[in-house]
Amino acid sequence: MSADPGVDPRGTISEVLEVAPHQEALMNELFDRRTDLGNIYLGALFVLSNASNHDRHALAAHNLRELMDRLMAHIGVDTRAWTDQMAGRLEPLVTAWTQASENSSAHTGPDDWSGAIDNHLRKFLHKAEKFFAWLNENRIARRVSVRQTLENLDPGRKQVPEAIRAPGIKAWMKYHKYFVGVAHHHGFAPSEFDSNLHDLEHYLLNRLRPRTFQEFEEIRKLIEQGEASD
Amino acid sequence: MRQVIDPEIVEKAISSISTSAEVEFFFDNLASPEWIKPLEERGLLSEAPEPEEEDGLIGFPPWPVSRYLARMAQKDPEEVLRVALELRTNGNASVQADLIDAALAMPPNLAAQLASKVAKWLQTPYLLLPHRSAALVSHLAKGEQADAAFEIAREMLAVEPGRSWDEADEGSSDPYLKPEPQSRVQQWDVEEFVKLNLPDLVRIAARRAFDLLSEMLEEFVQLRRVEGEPEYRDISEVWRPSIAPHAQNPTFGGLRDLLVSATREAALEAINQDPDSLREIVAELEQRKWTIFRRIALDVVNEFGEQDQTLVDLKLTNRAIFSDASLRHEYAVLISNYFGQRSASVQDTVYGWIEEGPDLTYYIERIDRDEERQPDEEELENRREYWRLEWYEILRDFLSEELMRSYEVLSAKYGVPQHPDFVSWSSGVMVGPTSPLSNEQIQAMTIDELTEFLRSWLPEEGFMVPSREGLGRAISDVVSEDPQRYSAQAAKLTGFDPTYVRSAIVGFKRASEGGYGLEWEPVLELCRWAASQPRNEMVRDTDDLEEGDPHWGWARMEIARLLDEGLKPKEYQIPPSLKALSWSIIEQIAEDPDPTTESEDRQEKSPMDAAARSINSVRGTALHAAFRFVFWCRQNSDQLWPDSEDSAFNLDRIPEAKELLERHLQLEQDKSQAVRSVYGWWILSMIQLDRKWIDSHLHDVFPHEEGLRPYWEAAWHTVVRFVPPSKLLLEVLRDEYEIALRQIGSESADDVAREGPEARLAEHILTYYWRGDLDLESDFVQVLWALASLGLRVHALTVLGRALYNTEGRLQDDVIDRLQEFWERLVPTTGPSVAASDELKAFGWWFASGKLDAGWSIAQLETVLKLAKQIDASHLAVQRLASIVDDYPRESVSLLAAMVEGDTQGWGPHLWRENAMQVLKQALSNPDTQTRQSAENLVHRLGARGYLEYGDLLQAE
Repeated sequence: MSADPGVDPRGTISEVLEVAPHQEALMNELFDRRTDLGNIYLGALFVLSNASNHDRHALAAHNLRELMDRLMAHIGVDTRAWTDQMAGRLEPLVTAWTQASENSSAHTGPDDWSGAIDNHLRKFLHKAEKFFAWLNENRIARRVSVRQTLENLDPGRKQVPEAIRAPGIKAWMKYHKYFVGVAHHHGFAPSEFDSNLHDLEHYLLNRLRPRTFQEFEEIRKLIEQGEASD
Repeated sequence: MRQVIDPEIVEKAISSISTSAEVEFFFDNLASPEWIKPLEERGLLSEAPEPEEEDGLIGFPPWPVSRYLARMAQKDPEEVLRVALELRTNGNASVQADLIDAALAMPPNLAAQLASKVAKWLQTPYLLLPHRSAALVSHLAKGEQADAAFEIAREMLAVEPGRSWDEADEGSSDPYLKPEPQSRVQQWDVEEFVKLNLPDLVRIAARRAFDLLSEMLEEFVQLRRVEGEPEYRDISEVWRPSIAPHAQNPTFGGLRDLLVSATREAALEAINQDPDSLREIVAELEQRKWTIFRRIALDVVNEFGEQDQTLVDLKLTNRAIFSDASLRHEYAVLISNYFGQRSASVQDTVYGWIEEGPDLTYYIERIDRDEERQPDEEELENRREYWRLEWYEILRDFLSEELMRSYEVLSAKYGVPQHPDFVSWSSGVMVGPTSPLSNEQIQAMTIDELTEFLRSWLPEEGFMVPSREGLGRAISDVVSEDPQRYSAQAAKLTGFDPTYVRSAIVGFKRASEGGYGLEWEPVLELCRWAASQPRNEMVRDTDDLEEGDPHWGWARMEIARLLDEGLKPKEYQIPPSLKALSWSIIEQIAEDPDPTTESEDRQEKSPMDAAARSINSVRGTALHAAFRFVFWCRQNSDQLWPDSEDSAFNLDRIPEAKELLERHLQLEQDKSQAVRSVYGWWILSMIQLDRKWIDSHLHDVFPHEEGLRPYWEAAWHTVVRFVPPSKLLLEVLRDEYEIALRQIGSESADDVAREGPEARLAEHILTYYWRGDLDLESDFVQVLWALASLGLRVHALTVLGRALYNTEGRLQDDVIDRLQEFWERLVPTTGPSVAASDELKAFGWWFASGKLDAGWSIAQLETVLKLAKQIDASHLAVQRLASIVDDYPRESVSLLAAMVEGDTQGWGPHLWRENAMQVLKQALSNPDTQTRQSAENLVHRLGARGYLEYGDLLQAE
């Protein structure tokens, strides 16, 4: 399989990979938008199909997280909040912590802090304040960018009540967090992975390739049911 | 008992919605108000979308929630009212409009609770609200909710300072510059409100409506007042001649007129409802500051005088009212109606004032100020007498014998006063010059009768009276309708005013244009006489064109135009026998001083170019006629030179014309650029007629010397604008093309947009390329593209695309190859110098033409849409897709999808509907699964963008 992001390999896939109809639809949708998006998703499916690769879930999760980030960028959303990684922000805090715990006169023993705030401790507290401020902003910024993503993916581009938008945002953040965790080899169950993958695929497909008139029918039926019980 | 929707279903419904189209669909299909509570509890009814501002324009996104509330208001008004009262509309007028609709569906007592909100919303200037609010006033009034109705009515009638494009005018102390105060809502809405809804309010509370309207009218006049003007008068006697309805009142009198009428109507209705309030209302009006209210008060007294005769006496015997000219009309109406029933004492008082005469202090001051003199006693006495006469005219039905004798004496001296009850009287509107004779009257006259009339009739002085110009127009009409009759006797017009002669010639020209035959000889004899009249001798010294032609120049220009028309190759052209006569006229007019250098300098700053000036100046039109004469001679050469053995025709055959044309090319003889442009106009015909002559005079027509640049431009710009490109033209004018191309890119974007000379030059070059006269490597094409501005390149590509689109039939293969090569090489879609979006968009025309290779066009369009997102002539491109969908189903759907995606204005799919549906319908029934799938995806996508009509395609499936 070529790793060239510019090549669209769809024509030959069916010979080497078995995909479910919804996966094929998502793949086509992604390739139609941009070849690299299609290839990243296809890469995840290929890795997962190789049962002899015991690290396949982590590798696939990495691709799925990358797919979500790139899709965001592809539709014009500012992704800096996602690329500004926690590790880089955490490092100065850890250094300040180490220095404070080693040198501060207020560190009077293991797990024991008392007395006045000296310069070592002040430095750490300043770093901590900055870090938490960033963390807070970053959480908000991430949420904002996901909201923007969902708005940009909505072909109607009209406002949607928060009560309807919020679950979508929550779901995106949940999938993202999940696949980042798996990519970093946090513990997971394969069935849980499959379920999350399946949900993410449908989540993306519904937004990339809406079945508007089918959804309308569903909604119509629910309204009828609701008003019949009225 | 309120029913409850199963909470599980509510949850299911909410979780099944994710896109804005689904939100809309959901709310638009709810039929029960029982959803309100559960949806409100889940936060779905609380966030009205905020207005969207873009490029200085504000838009109000519709909100399906407020639409739903409006629909439910009739079914559960209390519940909707509860939500509406708490709802924050975020300044979204569309949402506010829905809530007013909801109020309209509620019982008035509930709707009244929304009145304060509606009144507040009306303080914004948006158009969606006023007519609904006006209807709400009626709704509330009919439900006896007066407070609420008045709260909204006050905002509907609110006035504010006038706005002007020049802000300095808004605070101007000059009453003529200060803009008129205006209604806060659109005046049309106020007019409709006053006409349709205010009567409902007046019906339940006329007195209160009267107070409100008086207040608004007072505010209007106050705002009209110029700051710092201590003795401001409203001059209502000018803008509202009569308080009661009258033909003198303006048809479209604006807001002030509307407020006066409404105040009057409300006052009358208030007194009808409570007759005892007459004096109170009159007093209230008189207490207000401006004259207009005192006039309304007099009008009210007139209307109800029968019920309070003492009040009538009080008004009629009030010297201040009698003497105030601004109250004249209403006082005159009152006295005319009631004078006969007045006591002798009242009558004598009034007669006494008339006998005393007017206070002429103001008159004397004005004469002193304006004319710097003191009026003499006779003048003052005349003034007094005429004033008395006006009052006698007003009271004529009641005059005693003695006074009647005085009246007769004075009216014999001054004439019967017309409309003495009005300070000013308007007699009509301007309709253009009028003729003393109708067309029918002229047609009924013999030529001798007509000429006798022309000889004896003199226009009177005055405004809008019949004029020579008006009579001339009638003559033109009549002559053009019966040219044979008038042309046969045209010579009888010899000796008449230039206005009439010119008008007859215009009539002959029109007839010739229409293909009618003329008796040319008498017509040309008349022309010869007219052309020989002294050009510079002013017939009349006037700026008033109604008076008639000031000199013979206008007639000369029409003569040249007539000759130009008559010499054209057609059935009823000027016969060869009149060659000498025709030329003698042209020769004479070609020496006319117009255009002068001064007039050309002046016009240079105007948008009229040299070519336009050439057909609007005497010498220019004469030179056009001279060229026309040359080609008329060639056409008729067999008859003109029956014995000539030389079959070739050139200018040597007509030395008189050759000499004239050469002479006017010499700058010392003719400095006009307009005249020079005539040579550019006729260049191609002359190349074909006498190549040798052109070769030897080309430099004169297109002088290359730097100082003569304006002459080169006058001729060249005319060539590129009016002469069609041809191989011969390219061959002879190659140097001129080169010069013009070297300077390309210097024209402003506006000039390019107006299709100035550069745009026309580009069209010439591209036409040569299209025909194969130039290839892609030629310097002309390369220089054009290298130097052209973006605007010019876009113009060129669009012109090519449009030409392709408008070409009928199939193109030759070599043309197709050339055009495809042009696009591929000069409009790059890859690499560092990729073409600008606007250039790429022009491909819409190319694609829509269907003239190029289909596969190539599809591939190019795909690339263009990827880069530019949109194309020009998109509706035609979709039409083309519909015609190729059978052969290229998958590609057609893909291209349509790209166009839908790129449509940011939001109306494309509506505009393309018919053809887009055709594409999708064909694709949905295609045997290829992927094609069908793509089409279905696109239909759903269109639905998600709100184009629900496309859903029918899936149902048909």
